[in-house]
Amino acid sequence: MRKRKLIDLARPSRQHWLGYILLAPAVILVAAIIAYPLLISIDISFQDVKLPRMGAARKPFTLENYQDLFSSPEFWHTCWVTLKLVVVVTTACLAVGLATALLVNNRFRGRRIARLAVALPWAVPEVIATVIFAWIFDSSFGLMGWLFIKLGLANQMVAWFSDTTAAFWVVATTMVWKGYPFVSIMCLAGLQSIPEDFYNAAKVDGASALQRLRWITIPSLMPVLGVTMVLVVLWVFRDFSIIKVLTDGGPLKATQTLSIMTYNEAFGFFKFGYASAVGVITLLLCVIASMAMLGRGSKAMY
Amino acid sequence: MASISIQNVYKNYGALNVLREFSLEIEDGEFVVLVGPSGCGKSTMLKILAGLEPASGGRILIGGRDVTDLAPGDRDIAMVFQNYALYPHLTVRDNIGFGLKMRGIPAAEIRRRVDEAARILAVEHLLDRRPKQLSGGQRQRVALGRAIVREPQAFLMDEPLSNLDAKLRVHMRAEISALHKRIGVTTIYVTHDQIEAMTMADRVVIMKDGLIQQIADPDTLFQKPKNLFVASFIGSPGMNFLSTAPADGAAIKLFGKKVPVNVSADRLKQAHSNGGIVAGIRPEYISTEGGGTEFIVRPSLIESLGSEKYVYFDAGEHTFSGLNDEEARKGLIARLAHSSPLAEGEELKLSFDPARVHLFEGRSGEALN
Ligand SMILES: Nc1ncnc2c1ncn2[C@@H]1O[C@H](COP(=O)(O)OP(=O)(O)O)[C@@H](O)[C@H]1O
Ligand SMILES: [Mg+2]
Repeated sequence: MRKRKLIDLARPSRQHWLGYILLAPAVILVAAIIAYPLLISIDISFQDVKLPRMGAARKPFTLENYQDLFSSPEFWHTCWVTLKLVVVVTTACLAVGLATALLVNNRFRGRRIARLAVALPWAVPEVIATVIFAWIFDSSFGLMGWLFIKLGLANQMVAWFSDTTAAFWVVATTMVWKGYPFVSIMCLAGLQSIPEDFYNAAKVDGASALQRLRWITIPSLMPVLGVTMVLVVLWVFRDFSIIKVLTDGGPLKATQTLSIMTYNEAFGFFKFGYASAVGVITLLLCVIASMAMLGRGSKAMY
Repeated sequence: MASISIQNVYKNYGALNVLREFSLEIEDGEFVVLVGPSGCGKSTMLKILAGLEPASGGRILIGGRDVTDLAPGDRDIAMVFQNYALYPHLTVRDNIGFGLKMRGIPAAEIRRRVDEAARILAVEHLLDRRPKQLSGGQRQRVALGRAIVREPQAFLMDEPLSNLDAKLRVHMRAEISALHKRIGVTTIYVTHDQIEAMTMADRVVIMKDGLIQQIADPDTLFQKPKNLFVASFIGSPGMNFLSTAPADGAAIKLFGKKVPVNVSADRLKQAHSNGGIVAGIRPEYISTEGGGTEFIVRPSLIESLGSEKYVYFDAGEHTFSGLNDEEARKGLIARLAHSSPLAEGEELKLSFDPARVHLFEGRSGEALN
């Protein structure tokens, strides 16, 4: 008789073992670099910690950080800025992304180049893109100021970064430019999976191009758009480098989002307990937002 | 309802001639089937007719109106697609009413007409479901419903039954025929299945490589095929082909016998020098009853289908390899109603009526009789 192997993974009752074994390194890594810091920051958010040190004695449990947070006008203002940014950037990204995807989905000469061009901002590192936009919107020799003067929209160079409204829109524009290619690529993949006969049937039924978009393209893309929207929303929520480089949250905290606030409280004012509380709230908001959107999205389809 | 006239339509994809000089007159209310092997240009013809593909040349008239360069939606036709093209995000009701809605017909009117179409096709109980929740046959009906609700001038159907299992296909075949009898709309139906073509059509158009081979009603197609391709395509099992030579007078040599045929001696000689003469005998016209031309064979295989038997035997010196090798290798088939036991390898006397023999010229494949 053949000797039985010590650990025979081919045995029917152990089929799932291999999966766990292969998964283990990734799970351990994720636990080490995501779950552990996450737990630490939740823990810190309930303590009055200024500057945490490894091995320092635990401070007593307190809700002070959260009480301060909810009674602080700055926090509510930051929430409002974040919400505005999420809504504006997500909407614009979806609109521009879908439009460009529809455009390069047509058959025309040079389509491959056009597709590449649409995807290009995706390939530019975030910080570099931001620096470029900082130059474009420079208040003394930026391209955009010059353009505004030439178009007669302004009499002199616009001080983009000292006006609260203008700064917000500059940040939003930069984020849209950086974010729409992702939507575009996702939509393009979605568009290519719509059967040609859907359109043929609609054409025979006398649907115009606009009706085909409204009744076939958009509904067929809904599952893709739903997931894409969640990812874009989360990206806007957590994105740090664009705002940090462009405005650093200013002027007058007009572009300070929750992630910028977390950073400033921690590394600017060394209030780690308070910053952790902001971080935890951000996390909760993200979880709630994505659950709401995913739940609705998957129910609406089919 | 309308007549359809296709005049010298051709279509090229680059250097590829997909359709060559296609002309066809379809009468009001007729059921015409385009049939041919896959890739012969049937779908292309239908798409040109629907306006989904431009023709490279030629004219199309529907109900006397030139529609050659008209948008699909302005041609007043309805089309049923092979994979149904039902929209997964709409209910059955909205799917059926889609065309009406796109044309801006009032909601109440749409409701009435969708209900009527659903009643005709017996899908009333499915109206609130989505296509995903339907079986293949039900989806097929909904796709038909979407066509009939529009009350168009003509129906175009592109292999509408090929996604169904064999039993359902037979059932839906009969149902589409019944529907056509009932509403009488001019229908052009595309299939690669000769049985569908034979059972449903008023007239069949047989195509090969973008060329029409023959246009005729099913009986004529079966009795008087115009060429070798039509003869081999129609009928199941297919016609037996034997390469043969002329005998003295108006006759040919088959199985060492002289078989009289209704083709002149001169014509036979001419064909013989033109790639040879091919005789075709349908398996159903070979019998064990004697009379006519009799011959002895040793069956290599006998398949019993219960009510009848397929007897395979070797063509010997008459082996014809003009169509394809596979065809030649399987030998000849006789379809016998004989119920007494037959044995493989044992001698069997078969016979056929010389009047049932089809003759073709070897090179061109044209029928001689
Ligand atoms: N868009 C196209 N471009 C190039 N060739 C095509 C195109 N559509 C169809 N063809 C070719 O035309 C021929 C006929 O196709 P089709 O009409 O779909 O055949 P079928 O009779 O099977 O429906 C095929 O050889 C196919 O490869
Ligand atoms: Mg086809």
